Amino acid sequence: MKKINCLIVEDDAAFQTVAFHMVQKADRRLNPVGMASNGAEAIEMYNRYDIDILFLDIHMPDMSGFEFLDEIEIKEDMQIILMTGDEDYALQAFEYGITDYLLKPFSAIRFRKSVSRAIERLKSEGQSSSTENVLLRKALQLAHSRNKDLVPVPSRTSKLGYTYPLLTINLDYENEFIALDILDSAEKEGLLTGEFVDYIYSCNSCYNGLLHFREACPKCQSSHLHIEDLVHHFPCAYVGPVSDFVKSESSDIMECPKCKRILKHIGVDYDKPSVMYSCQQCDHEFQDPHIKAKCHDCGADTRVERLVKRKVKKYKLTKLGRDAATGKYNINLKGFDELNDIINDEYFIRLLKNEIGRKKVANFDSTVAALQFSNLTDLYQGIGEKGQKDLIIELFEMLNRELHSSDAVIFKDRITTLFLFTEKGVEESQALLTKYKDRLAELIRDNFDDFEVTFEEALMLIEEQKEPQFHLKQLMSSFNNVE
Amino acid sequence: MVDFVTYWSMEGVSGFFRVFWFFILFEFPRFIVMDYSMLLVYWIKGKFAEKDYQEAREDFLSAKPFISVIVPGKNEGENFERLVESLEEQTYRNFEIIIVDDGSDDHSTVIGRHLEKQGRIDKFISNTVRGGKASAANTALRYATGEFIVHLDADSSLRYDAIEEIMIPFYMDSKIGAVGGNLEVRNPDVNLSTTFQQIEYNIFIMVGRMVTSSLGILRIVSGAFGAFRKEALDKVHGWDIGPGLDGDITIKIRKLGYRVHFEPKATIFTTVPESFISLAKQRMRWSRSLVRFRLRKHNNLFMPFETFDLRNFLTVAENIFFNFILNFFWYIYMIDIIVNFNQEILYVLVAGIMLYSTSKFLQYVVVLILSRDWKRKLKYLAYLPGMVFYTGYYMRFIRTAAYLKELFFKDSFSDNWNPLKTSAQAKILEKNIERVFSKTGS
Repeated sequence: MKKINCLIVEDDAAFQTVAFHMVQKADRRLNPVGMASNGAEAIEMYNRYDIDILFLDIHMPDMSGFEFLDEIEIKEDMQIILMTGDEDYALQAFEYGITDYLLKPFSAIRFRKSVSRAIERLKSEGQSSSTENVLLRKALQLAHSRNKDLVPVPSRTSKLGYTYPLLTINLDYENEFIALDILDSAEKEGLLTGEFVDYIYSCNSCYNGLLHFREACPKCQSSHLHIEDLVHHFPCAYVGPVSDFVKSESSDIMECPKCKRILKHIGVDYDKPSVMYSCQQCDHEFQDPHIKAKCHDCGADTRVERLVKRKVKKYKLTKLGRDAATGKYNINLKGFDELNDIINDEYFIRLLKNEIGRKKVANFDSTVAALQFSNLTDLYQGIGEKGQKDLIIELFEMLNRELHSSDAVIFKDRITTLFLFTEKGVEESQALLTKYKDRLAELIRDNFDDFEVTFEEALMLIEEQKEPQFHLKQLMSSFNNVE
Repeated sequence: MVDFVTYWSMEGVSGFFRVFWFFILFEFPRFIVMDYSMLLVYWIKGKFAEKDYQEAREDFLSAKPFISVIVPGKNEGENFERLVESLEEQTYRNFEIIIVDDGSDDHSTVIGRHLEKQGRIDKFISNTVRGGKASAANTALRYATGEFIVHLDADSSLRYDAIEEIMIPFYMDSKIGAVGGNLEVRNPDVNLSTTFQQIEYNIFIMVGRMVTSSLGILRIVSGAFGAFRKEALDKVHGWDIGPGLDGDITIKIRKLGYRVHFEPKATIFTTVPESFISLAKQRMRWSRSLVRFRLRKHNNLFMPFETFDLRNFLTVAENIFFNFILNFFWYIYMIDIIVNFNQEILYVLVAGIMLYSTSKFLQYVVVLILSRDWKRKLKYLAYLPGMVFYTGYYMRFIRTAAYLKELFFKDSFSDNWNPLKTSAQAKILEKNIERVFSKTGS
């Protein structure tokens, strides 16, 4: 999910901080890129960043908010939220086409509503701006305008071995596999209907679909194998590889080594009941070789059972798909990767950075904590990818409901949760952490047949002279499994 | 009852001999006298041989030869796990396991492959086209690398020391080429049929083969559990088409001059048919092979050729006389009884049952003396009278039917135990042999 860049233009330092916190709490996608306390600063920052939402005060020392708007080139889809103590500007504000008008002092709830409206409008005006959505929209537009289907074309230059020209054209080689994910979710959203064309097996580390397959020895993994048919000579019941029967290399005559008779016709006096492999590397003899696939892109040599198997389909646009192509419907692929927002330590680092900044100017204690589910992988093994995602989403939503409004939680990975407790000492934070642990354990118990989850935990005070990364490293190093 | 006693006291000893001449002439010396003589010899020998045995055991354990355990079979997948488990628990460990699947149409291949992947068996060879048991065994032999070959049936499990025990005779006598193991019934208490088979196995396999083995005329190394020198198997180029391939290969090995030994201590537990009908089918197959191999294929054993060997002759002769000739002779005996003792048939019948029960009892005593787990086997004493009917009539009728069918119709060649293609080839081969023999004869 793309971040929404926000700029806060406000001359009152106290209110600036309040606004900053409100922005952070309102929606996690919001990314406050800067704060300006006068018009000149604001113009400079606006030009430096690609701003999506602008929080603007009307009264500034060097110019008014409207003057500022006159100065800059307003991006077509940018949302502006005015913040002022004076209601006289309402009319003027609407002439500028601003999104909302907040009268100071305003409540956090009012602020949040305003922000979510801005995000909503941002989406509908600029269309959804995430890469997946843009790519899909382009592909749908192309397909619609040319009245074509999205057909997979075999290609040896593409990463997957199949390419969807209308879609893959916008992806670089390394990321071609994303096309399949996009089309999958588009079908789920009802934009496309798919019809099976083929299966592909691709490398499980880089998704390369053009692999080099061959048999390998199950003992030593060598592919240097000798393969021979077994021959069963009916009259004397002798069984051995063809080479046992060959008299000389120059002739085709096969003679039974047991009864010395010449073999006549396959099916009449002999047959070939099976095949034997012998490894030229380790002399192992076997019938069930490993089939391995070598990826010439990343060098991985994988057993075929472990390759990634994907369906390749031919897609037709639905009515909804055509509406999306003509802009009547706003594409917003759900569940594209639901965990992107949840497993996101970048976001956490940003929060932590702000908190460290805050601590530099004020004197209070804040803590960060990490909670690791030490045996959750046991549970994961049985529930598959989908089950894992659903579980993480559920855990995350539960924690968010429980959390104090000033605190934050995020998953670092699928088994580690990070907490930020603002303006709380160790003791208070520890109490909260214990409470959350109980709630997590309870939720897992209820959902998975009394599965008893176990935790490891770490908690520390934020040190203002240290980087955010330092804190995370410190937390993680207290867990056993850190390399 | 009173009449019965009066009748027999009037008849006296001579009357008893007249009525039961068949028993006294043939069965008493062959089974009772021989069993007890063997027991005596075994006991005396055991006194002296204990030291040899221990020395051989030490030789074997220090030589630590590599053994190939081969298991050919069709649709035996469900038995693999138990068999492999019993192999994993062996006291002797230096062996490889090769299972050959002969064109199974069940899940055997999947199970075998799985065990191979787990590394619990060394080779799983699956012949997708069925070729018969001999071809499966030969496939295993072709890829076996051991100095000795242990041949097993998949539907069995081994006593923890079975491999060790079956190997020791090779180190007691270097002329021994093959050693047969002892078969115990794994499912003796399922029903009457399996209980009778348990007693039968003990009397005829354990004691019976100890007798023939000590006389040097053991005719069969059981396919269910037999050990071979690899060189001996290589010389005879493995197994020929069955049924009865285990008896056949034993004879071939004997012909090469090797000795064949039976080792009662090497024990395997095998699953026996659980109904009288399936049991009958199994025995028909076994009995037919006597005609096919002893009478036809190895008939040169009777000829006074330069290769003539008295022991080999006796081996086959004993088998043919007691199983084949006496089988038919018994009907003459029955006619004699029916015609001449028509009026007293009831007395004769009752006395016969008593006599044969006593005989079975005496034979079973030998079993108990020789068994390590004799306490468990005590309870089967109660079934001995029933054995009179089991071996006396049931088994006899099955044998008769099998011999007749094989003699007149060469039934075994159309037996679906072998695939049609190999049976057809075997028949052609046999015709050729006959032609060659008739030429040299004329």
